[in-house]
Amino acid sequence: MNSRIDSIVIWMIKLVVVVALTTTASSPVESQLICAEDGEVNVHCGRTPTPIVDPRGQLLIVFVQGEHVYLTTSNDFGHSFSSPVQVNSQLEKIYANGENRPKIALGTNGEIFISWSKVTKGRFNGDIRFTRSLDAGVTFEPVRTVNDDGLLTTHRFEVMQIADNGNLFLAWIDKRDKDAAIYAAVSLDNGLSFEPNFRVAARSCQCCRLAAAPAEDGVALFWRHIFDQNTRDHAFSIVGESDNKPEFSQATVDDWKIDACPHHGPAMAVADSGDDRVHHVTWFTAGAKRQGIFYGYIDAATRNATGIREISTAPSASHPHILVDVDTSIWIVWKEFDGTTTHVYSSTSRNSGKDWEVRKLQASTGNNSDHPLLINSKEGVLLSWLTEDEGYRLIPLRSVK
Amino acid sequence: MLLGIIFSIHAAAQTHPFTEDSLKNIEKRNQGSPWLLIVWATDCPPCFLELELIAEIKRESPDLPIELISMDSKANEKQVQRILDRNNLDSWFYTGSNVSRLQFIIDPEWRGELPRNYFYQADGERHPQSGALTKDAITHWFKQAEESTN
Repeated sequence: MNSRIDSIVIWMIKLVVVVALTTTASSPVESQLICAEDGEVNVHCGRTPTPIVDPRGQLLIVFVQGEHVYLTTSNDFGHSFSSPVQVNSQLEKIYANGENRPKIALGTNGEIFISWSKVTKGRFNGDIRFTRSLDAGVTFEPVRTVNDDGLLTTHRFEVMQIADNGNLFLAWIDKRDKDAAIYAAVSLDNGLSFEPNFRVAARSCQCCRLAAAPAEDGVALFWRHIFDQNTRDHAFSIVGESDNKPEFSQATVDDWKIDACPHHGPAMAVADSGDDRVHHVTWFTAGAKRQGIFYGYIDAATRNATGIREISTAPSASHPHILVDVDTSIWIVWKEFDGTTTHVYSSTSRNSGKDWEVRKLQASTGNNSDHPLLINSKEGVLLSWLTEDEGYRLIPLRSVK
Repeated sequence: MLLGIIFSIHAAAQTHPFTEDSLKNIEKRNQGSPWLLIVWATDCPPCFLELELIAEIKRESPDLPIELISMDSKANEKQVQRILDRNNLDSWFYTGSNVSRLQFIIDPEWRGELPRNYFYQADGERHPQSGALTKDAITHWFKQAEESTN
């Protein structure tokens, strides 16, 4: 009886909190979100919500709760969310942290593609999992494993990207060759099947997220690599559908020699300017040459990051994300911690990355938080951020102007 | 006597609650001789190698003052305990909820890469070093630091 009353009370509190969360939008929420361990499935109480916008302007968000990936949608920019749909019908352990989280992509015929890294037996092991919905997210096909080596080893930190011609690429960190490497697979039939896995590059860092973006003739990848003995700088590569031996370049030269886990992968966004497609990147380093969060764009000829600008050198500056707005402004968001509060700041460039406006505070929290992400919506640029106390927020970014 | 030994073996691998003041207390307790502080986490592959190394060093020199702090959140407590059991090591474990705060308490200048090592001199001055250490580097440093203290 008591536990029943308790659960009703908790449910009522949650209802109030969720109502507060969904009606106050970007204004600070004072009450704390209460998420019971076995409570209802809810984007505010899940882990690692990751958004995308469909052509109609609807937000689709994948998140993890328990041993399921869920899909929820929002037609009012995060004020309210649809009842979550279970993506995997069979329970499985899922990697769900800031660096390693489920991904969502949209096919050219309205398919919804979802991928994630499954936790398998043994230390740091996993499989790349994939499914799709052909009925706008009502149902999902049985989940498939994309890595084709059949080995119990690391296959984690996948990224998913659709190329201009509609081909679907997945790339991930893979230890089938013992050392961590970047492997990829492409589907030429909208996710019905995948071509054999191929290696993009040997000796990558083993716990940093990868960044992907469309490129001419395929997909651009940007990731933390190990150069020389132990230099953890970034590599850039463009992988195509029939490219079994892709080349990659050292794209950042920060000279970060370290045998450690930075847990700090880069981000990339693409801009079209006339015939030229420009890959804008942001990354974190603590190298001998520079320390903090930096911006650069990939020079098409040399494939090196050039036009490098400092975004933040604060010791706590972390996990930058980048987006190119419809008006070609470039936005970067990142986190900083001041001793008690975690803040998300933004910086904007209105001239293709040459000059960056003074940083602006966009959101804060007093407890644990996910990595900040950016998406373009009809409401403008939104910051997607899950915080333990406030729940999931989609916050319209405010300009300096 | 036998019971005592069994209990002491059993009690060897355990977590100690790390709170706001813990680092100050650990520093105070170790002051006067050189010691090593190692920050690690369960999601850090090189940390596992370093923990195995520390376990080996501790087997050879059980009294060598080496303190461990886990950067894991409450959700990983069981995993932390399993790794400590396997290596027969003790570690501090954060009782607060905000891991950013733990990083800040340990070192506001540190960017979070793991493992993170702090070499404390007898006078309390410390030198940070990121990345997995070698056994030689650890034993050599202790030897040198003790010689310069004496």
